[in-house]
Amino acid sequence: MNNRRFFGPVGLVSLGVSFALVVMAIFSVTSLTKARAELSRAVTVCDAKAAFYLADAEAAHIARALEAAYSEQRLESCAEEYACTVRENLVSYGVPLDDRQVLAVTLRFDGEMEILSWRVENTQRWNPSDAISVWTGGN
Amino acid sequence: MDNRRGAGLLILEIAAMLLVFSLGAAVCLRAFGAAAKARDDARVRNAAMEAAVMAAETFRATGDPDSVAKRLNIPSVDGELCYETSDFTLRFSFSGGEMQVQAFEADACILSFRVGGAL
Repeated sequence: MNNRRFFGPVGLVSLGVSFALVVMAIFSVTSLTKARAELSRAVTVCDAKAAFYLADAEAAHIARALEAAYSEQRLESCAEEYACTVRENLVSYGVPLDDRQVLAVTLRFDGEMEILSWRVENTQRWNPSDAISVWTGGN
Repeated sequence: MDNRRGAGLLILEIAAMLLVFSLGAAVCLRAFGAAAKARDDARVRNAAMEAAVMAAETFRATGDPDSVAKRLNIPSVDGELCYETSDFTLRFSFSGGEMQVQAFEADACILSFRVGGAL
């Protein structure tokens, strides 16, 4: 009798509804987590692209200024103004994208300006993981 | 008296269970709704980013606003470009050899960046 009182209205239907509720809760939490991760990734990609184009625009601005200075024969002073490294007829500079990446540019001035490199480089040292013992060719 | 008390308790228990079930269902539906909104936001952002990058790469290569207009198949109005879809609006303005890109979703700016023109 006590058992009947304890379980009260908890019959097959209630158990079914409870199970459905638990399943729905699991699916909803999984769905929400995945959707938030998707949104977070989209925001990160947008921010990264915006940072790249901002750095790219800045680098293009510096390149134009250097080109104008070269035609006016004051390349050295202009390079110094933009903290560029000058080596013979090569001028290098970097525009930071974030705290880990920089847009590195190398220009050659030989009669006219030529872009030798225009690429994103990592500024932090890459530390390879040695946690897994990988076969390196020995015995 | 006992029967009446038992019936009252039964109704109370059923009501409590219904309340718990409806609260649980409401929370789950809310979570599903939030997930759907987040997924839709991500989709709109990705689509806006894709169109903006297409325009930005065209501008970087040519430095010509008309090329951007041709690439996106949109008309140029007073030197400004506007690319509208049902989800977002992309606005491009040009000054000093640079292009400013802004993406709006229902008047909220979701993306903004500047692109330097061709060298």
